[in-house]
Amino acid sequence: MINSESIIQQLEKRLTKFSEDPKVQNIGIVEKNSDGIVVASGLSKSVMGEKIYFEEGGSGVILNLDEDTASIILLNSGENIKEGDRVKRSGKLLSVLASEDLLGRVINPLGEPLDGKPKIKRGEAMPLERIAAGVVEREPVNTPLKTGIKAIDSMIPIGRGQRELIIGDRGLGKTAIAIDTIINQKPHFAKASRGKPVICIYVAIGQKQSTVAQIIEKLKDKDALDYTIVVAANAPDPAALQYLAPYAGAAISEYFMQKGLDVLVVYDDLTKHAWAYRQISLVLGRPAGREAYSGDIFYLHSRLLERAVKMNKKNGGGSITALPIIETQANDISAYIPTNVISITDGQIYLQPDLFNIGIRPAINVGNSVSRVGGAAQTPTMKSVSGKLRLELAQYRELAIFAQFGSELDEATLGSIERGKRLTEILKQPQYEPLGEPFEVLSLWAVVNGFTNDIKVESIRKFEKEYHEYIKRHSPKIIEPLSNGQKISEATVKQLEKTTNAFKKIFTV
Amino acid sequence: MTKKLLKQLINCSYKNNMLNPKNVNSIAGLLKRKDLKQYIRAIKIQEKKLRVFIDMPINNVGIKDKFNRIFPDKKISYRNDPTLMLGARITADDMLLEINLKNTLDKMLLFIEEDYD
Repeated sequence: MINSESIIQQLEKRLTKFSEDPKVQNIGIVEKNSDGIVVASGLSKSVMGEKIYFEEGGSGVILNLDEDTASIILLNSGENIKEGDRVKRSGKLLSVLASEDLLGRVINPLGEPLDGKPKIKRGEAMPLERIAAGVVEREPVNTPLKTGIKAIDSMIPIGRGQRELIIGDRGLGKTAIAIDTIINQKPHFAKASRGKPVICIYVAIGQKQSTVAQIIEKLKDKDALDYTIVVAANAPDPAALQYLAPYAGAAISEYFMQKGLDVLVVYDDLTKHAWAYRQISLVLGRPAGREAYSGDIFYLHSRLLERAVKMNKKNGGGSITALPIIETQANDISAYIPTNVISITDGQIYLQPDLFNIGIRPAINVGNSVSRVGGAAQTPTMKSVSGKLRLELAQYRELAIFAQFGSELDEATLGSIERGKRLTEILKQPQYEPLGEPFEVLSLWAVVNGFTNDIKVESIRKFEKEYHEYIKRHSPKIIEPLSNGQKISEATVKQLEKTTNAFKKIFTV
Repeated sequence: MTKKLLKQLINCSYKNNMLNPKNVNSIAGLLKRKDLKQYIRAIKIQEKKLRVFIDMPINNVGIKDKFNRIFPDKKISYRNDPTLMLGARITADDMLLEINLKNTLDKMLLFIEEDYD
């Protein structure tokens, strides 16, 4: 039990930190308040990005410094701020308190809770704006980040520290890919796991509150919220908060990365982020450029995504993997913001409406999707089955178009088409059901090596499900060599062939 | 009107840190409505720079003399603010100096809020 003396000692120790010196403050006077932007005179000592407090309550951030005035973006509604009100400098750049207490929480970009739980008071103040790590501190991407989605892990592999864009029209499953990836990190948090755990941060920008609520509920259902932080600046929030949300996500990621942990951050989505910044820029009176975006719109996203990093061992060995999402209009990936973000990232996963409409889910267009650095991080196990996959699928798409003319086809072409159909079918995967690497490898190995050639295309999904169950029940030892990431040995191949043939004998459509 | 010209006009409007009504009238007569608005605004800012506001909870003549010695070149405006309890609040241009009991109590409250669960 704590005695009264130790309590008094503790209190005295804490009170020694209290300073009673007179306070000298640099102040300003509100000149104008319009559309979320306040123009204030004075504030001669203020700096860009500094947090400002209003006398009537509320706060803002300096985004423009002129000779006599400063333009402040409001972090709350600001309805009660009027001309002549006094504003005070905080002397601090905008930051968010980051700590392990944030795990499982839903916060706004300022770190204020949105989930009705207590306020987070402790933690390290991480600045929202920060220069990304330099080349000396980094190392190349070399560890895979498993999404649990067969099509991605086999053909568009993502590495820890990579920036992989998810792009496509609305309603094609962009968020679903990101959420599946978060859910797939769960096994790493199991005590027996050999993999390094990945802390997940989901940043919702300008989304409907109902959508965000659904996502949180799904993460809770799948026990994924325990290692996830949701940073939300929803559609009804001020544009300033929507603009700051991804930077808050990056700042929290950096806190965990500095501790040597691996972090996955999802920015959902950067199109709405660009819209929020366009609104702010136009109200600030900055010159409008292409599509009315201000001239620094490229820098807005490049400085954010450059914070995704794989640190070398000397600097802790942590990483930040970024999955930015871009929503295209009418399938146009050559618009201004999509092309900007495509050029910044290390690859993109392109979702196509045509594929979605014919029932291919995830609707990934393999031809237009690419991972520029992830290949180096792919495990030899996956490489040994996915080597020819991309090429075969591309050939199938070409041949399938040609076959539509109804001309007679030779046996080899027909074989390619049939295998392509089965490959397409095996790459289909339901939402919220990510697979572990051994099972991804099993499915792909069976198709690539022709074990499904005599199975009807419509039975492939059933085959896959029962095949996994059979392996789990009858040959669990096969899973072990497929999980260690090493190349599949001759002995394992023989065992796989034996087990697969045995399963095929009992498999009925 | 350029900022440079506006600054020149403001300099001409003052003599020994005091507004010269004769010069101001002659300048104002020459300006268009839009420029005149800018000119008035600039004079207001300049006036603010030359003035010091001191808020005090009680009227103390002895302290006023001390303040006159501290700010010899400035016009001092004294205001009564009983909420300060003790001490004073000095506002010079965009700098604010809080040396009063209210500020100390506010700081203590903030310290407790931030440091204790």
